[in-house]
Amino acid sequence: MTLRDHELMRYFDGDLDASDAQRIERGLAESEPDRKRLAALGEMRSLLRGTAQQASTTAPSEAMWTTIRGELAKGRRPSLGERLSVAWSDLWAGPARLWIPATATAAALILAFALARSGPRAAIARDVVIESVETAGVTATVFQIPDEAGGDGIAVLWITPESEGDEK
Amino acid sequence: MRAAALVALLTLPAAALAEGARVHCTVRSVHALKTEGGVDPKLESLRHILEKEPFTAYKTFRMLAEQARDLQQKVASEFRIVNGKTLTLTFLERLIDEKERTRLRILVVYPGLNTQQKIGDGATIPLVVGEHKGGSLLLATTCKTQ
Repeated sequence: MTLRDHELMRYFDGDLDASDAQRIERGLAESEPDRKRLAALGEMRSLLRGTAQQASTTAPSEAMWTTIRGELAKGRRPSLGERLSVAWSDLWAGPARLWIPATATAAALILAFALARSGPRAAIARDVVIESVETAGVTATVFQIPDEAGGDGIAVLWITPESEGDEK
Repeated sequence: MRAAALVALLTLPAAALAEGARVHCTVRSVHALKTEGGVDPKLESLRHILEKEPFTAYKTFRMLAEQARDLQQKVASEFRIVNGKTLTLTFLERLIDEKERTRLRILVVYPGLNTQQKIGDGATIPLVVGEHKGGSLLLATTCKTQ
């Protein structure tokens, strides 16, 4: 069983009612790839939460800003070049800088989630299902190679001339 | 909303796949023998099939021929096989199943056989067509969307 993305996300967010949640839990119990997808969602959330927390603790306090403003008021007005230089430095040195790795982390996790999602699909892409067989003068035997990833598996069709089949 | 946007982003490639009307198919003629010899390196991509039942009795898999062709939807395409017979393939349709997976519906016709199969995108249809030079002849047909 492969759980749908929106079901998994709603389960993760705690949005499902009890019966739907139980159904998802049964699906998770049967499917290792789905459990990995759920774990990826958890990791993504905790990393984003951790980065945001770090940003809030490293931001200058209000008291510090008051002191800075006071010192600035005493001095001369900086030139345009100085202001641009400081603004550029602030962009890279301030809390905003943290959003660059945070965004990259989120992008990497989304990619990892997509890849985790494509992993079992790649295996399932091997599926071969016979929908109909018609024979004339041959005997057709079907063998089934099971798919370890939970897909339909591969059906092997083996034909032998009827006379050859009769001899066996 | 956020979850819906992510779902839309992740499902976009699957939706786009449903638009084409051509597949690329490769038919490999494989000679299977019970004598020791191993798997031809050219058949490495088929190992997941060759090492399972009903092929475990065979110890040698050698590629005899390989033919590749683009198949237009609902147009029969003939492949001349090493045993002198003809394999006819018709790409019937591409579909997205209930699990949002791309599937190809292929009609396979060989003397005495007419079979319709639904396969994954890039999957290989294994068809053993009888004895051949002391072993068995396996036709491995791989089809993939373009």
